[in-house]
Amino acid sequence: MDKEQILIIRIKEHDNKALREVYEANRQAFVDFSARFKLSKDDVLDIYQDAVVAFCENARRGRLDNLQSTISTYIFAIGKYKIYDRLKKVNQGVSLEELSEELIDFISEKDEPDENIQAMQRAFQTLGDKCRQVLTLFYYEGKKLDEIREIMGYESKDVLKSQKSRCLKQLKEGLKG
Amino acid sequence: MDKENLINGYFEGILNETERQEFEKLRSEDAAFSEEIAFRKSVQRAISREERAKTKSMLQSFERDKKQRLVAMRKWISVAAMFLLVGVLTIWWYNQGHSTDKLYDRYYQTFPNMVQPLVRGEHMSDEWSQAFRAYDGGDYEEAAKLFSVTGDVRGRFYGALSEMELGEHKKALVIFEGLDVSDTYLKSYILWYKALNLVKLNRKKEAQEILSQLAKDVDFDLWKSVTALQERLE
Repeated sequence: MDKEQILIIRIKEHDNKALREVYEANRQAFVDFSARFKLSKDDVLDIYQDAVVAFCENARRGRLDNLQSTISTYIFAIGKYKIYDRLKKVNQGVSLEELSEELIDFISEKDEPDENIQAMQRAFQTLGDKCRQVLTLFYYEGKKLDEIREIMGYESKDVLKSQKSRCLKQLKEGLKG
Repeated sequence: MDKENLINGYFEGILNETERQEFEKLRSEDAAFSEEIAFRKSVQRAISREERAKTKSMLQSFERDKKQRLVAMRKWISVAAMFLLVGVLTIWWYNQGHSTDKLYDRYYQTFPNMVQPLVRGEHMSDEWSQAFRAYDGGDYEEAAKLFSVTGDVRGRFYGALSEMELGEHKKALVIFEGLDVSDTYLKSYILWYKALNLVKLNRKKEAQEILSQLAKDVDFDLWKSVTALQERLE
């Protein structure tokens, strides 16, 4: 297994050291690349960080298990896309493999903060650890119920399903309150 | 498939064609079903935003750490540079002193008592004789003390010599500076030892001035040493 695949696996396992490695390995190159554009250093770093966030998300969703390019190329592609978008230039010839529409919205900053979603975020924060973990694994990382059962050590899929239902109910209640 | 399983299947992405069609049909015909889907999608969006914010926050902390490490490293480098500078200066300064020390050791010799030679067995009780007896006997502390009260140029010269023997070169300097050498046969010797004392104190320029004056006295029996030391000081 090559170094990059190991890094991606570590990131899926929430290994922050691996995340830091990726971040620091590509930072300077990206900053250097961005010098040709009229962007402040803060803007450049902000864009770079968003690109790494998108990379991280897709890694955790299992979408990079068979990544053909290098991690650097991938992050650069996202970063470039975002730079052009921010500068209102035409994004030509930059392909974003495996990025969901939602992630593309995130990068293009079309992801507008919605009051409802913010309320949902607050309600989510009040849930217990177990609920947050189940819901994150299912809805964010896109893991299947069987996988989640194994990860969290539930006796059966049905027990897990009940737990998930209860969590969603709690969330609904939290929104009313 | 029951509704809950359909919804889960939809989010898991494992619905087959038939199930998908069933799902879409329910979504368009069943308001409650449609609402539930919308609700879970907002849960999904909210969690995504949470996780992205967390990840971004972590990356920002990496950035801060990097800045702090850079600042710390700069501080470390400037401290190290300072120590290096101090070290280099100390070595240089030591070498300066050291080389003049070597010169001093090479050219200094205890100056013999040429003023009040003592005859064996004689014990003159006056302070003058006592002072010279102490000097001859190597008791330079006593000699220095006794010579300090005299107004005589020769006595004060030996007082300075005693201080030099004791390593008290600054005290010797004070005495030398107060000496008027114009009227004594010891003039050249006084100048010679004054110069040597200045060499020990690393005051090369002042020593050079005296030595060039001294070099004019070609009859001085230490003339060779004078010129040799002059050369070495350059």
